[in-house]
Amino acid sequence: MKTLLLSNINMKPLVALMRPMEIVCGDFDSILTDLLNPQSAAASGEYDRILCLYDGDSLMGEALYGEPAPDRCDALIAALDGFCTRHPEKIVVTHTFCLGSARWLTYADLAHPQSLKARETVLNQRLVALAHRNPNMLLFDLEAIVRRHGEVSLFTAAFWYAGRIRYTSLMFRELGAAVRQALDAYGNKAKKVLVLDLDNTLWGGIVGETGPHDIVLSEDGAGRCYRDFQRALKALARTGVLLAICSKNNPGDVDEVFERNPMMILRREDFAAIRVDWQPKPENIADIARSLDLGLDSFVFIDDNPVERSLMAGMVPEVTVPAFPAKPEELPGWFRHTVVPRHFGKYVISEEDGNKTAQYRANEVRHGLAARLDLDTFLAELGIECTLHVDSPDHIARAAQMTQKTNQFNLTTRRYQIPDIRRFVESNDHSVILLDYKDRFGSEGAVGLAIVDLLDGRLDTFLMSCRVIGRRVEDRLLDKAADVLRARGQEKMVGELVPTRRNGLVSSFYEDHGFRPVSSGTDGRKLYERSLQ
Amino acid sequence: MRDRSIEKVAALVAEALGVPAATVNAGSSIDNLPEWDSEAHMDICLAFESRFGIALDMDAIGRMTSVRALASLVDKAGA
Repeated sequence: MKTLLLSNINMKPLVALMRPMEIVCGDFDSILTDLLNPQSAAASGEYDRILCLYDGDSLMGEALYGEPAPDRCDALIAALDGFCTRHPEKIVVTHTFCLGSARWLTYADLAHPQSLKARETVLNQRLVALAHRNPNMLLFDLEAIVRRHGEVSLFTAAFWYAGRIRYTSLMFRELGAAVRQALDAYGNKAKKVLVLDLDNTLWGGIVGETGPHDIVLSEDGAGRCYRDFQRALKALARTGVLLAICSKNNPGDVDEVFERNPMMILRREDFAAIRVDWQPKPENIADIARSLDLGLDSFVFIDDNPVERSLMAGMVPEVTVPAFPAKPEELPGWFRHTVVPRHFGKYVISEEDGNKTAQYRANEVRHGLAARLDLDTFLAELGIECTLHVDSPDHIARAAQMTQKTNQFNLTTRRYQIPDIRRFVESNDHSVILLDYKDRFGSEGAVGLAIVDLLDGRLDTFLMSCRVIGRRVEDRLLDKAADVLRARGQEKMVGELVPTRRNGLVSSFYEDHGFRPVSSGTDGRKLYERSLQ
Repeated sequence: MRDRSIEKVAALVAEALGVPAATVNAGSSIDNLPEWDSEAHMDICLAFESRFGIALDMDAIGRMTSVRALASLVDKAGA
């Protein structure tokens, strides 16, 4: 089926922009005849969609304050009404009146009880009433586009006088997007679930490192960006979109944020599903889809981490994965201007929409572990390259900093200063092993550290930055530690675990890597062993 | 005139007209390409503006009716 574009100005540039949608331009300035004449192209079976994108200024002509709007404005509204009623099978897309700011005698106009501004308002009220009465008429807000970009960037005098083209390329792109969004919203193509990461997405910083009170979330500065983002999310949820969390964190840290951080706008109850663990996110999102009984093609996934986004897009292509803004201050605007209109456009908001989250929360049931998605393939495609430095004098400061800052993937959480690390590097009884990471998205720098006691074969310190958790990079660091110990004639490697409130992530690390437990102290400290033979 | 400007403009004209790239060359203009009519000329000018970031005034829209003329504008702007 085809789309017919009617206008009183030259709108041909829109046709190429909207491909692959097949659009045919009606005869120039034929809106009224096309809408009124039962034998017109618009009325024929050839077109199932009519775009009526008119120029309000041309319709208004040179009318002044105190004068009625020209008859052709009323005629257009009446013609739209009649056409929509006669052709309930066709969709008509049109927009509100938005008169140019440069009309004559604006001060006088503004003050006059029958100003053109007032006329514009009345015409728009009638259009809105029409759209309400005719469900097949889709009305979008032209003024919203003009407010956003301004007349200076949307209108062109040169093309207007050279060829009756009123708009710049930018305006044509915006009109194209507006038409597409209206049609998508009408066709119920809107997404249903928005899945969110937490650290550096819902708030700034990493809660596992800073604790629940020192995440970036406040009424001032950068923290306000995230708070405003949360406000926008809360509003979106009221339109019936379900929010969900899929995040790699310690569940306890996230619980504390929800319970104790007063700056959180979103509460636990605002989410239909929450998955906070260290499973690959594609598995978790598949699990959420099953528990909510919704198709993955109705999911949108927002995460600041490009690797997580790529993993999701690569392994679950049905899920929509928008790019993430580079700066926190862009987050709320990006969400409102881009994500919401593009993916969550709605034509009708029902009463149930406001309660959807509660309904789904009630239905949510835990399912078994998601079928293993192919993580190996993804990791291979990531092109991970690790470089290991043993006792490198160039990395002492970084190594000390890592012992100070790493909390989650940290088996002993021993904090060292630069002189401590220097002593380990220079002495014969310790080795300091640092792991540099890069993949096709770029370099992360030093992300892993092991300090090995060469005398008793013990892993004094073993830690990884949480930026690379889940990519099996820790295996390479452990292998290197084993090599170093073997070279010193050790026959076994001793693993040490000091449990803390934050390192639950690694509680089974040694068991998972072929160690067996050998002792367990009253302070919770545990020792493990693995043969190096 | 730089060959690169000619190439870039010819490719843009072909794309705007929806014809194979090989159809448009340095000598192409509104006079010798049947697809390049006064309506299509507007498409070309709009595409030209957004591709090269060069604003065309009404006079320029009227005169820039050949690949060479458009390419000379690109050269002048150093785009």
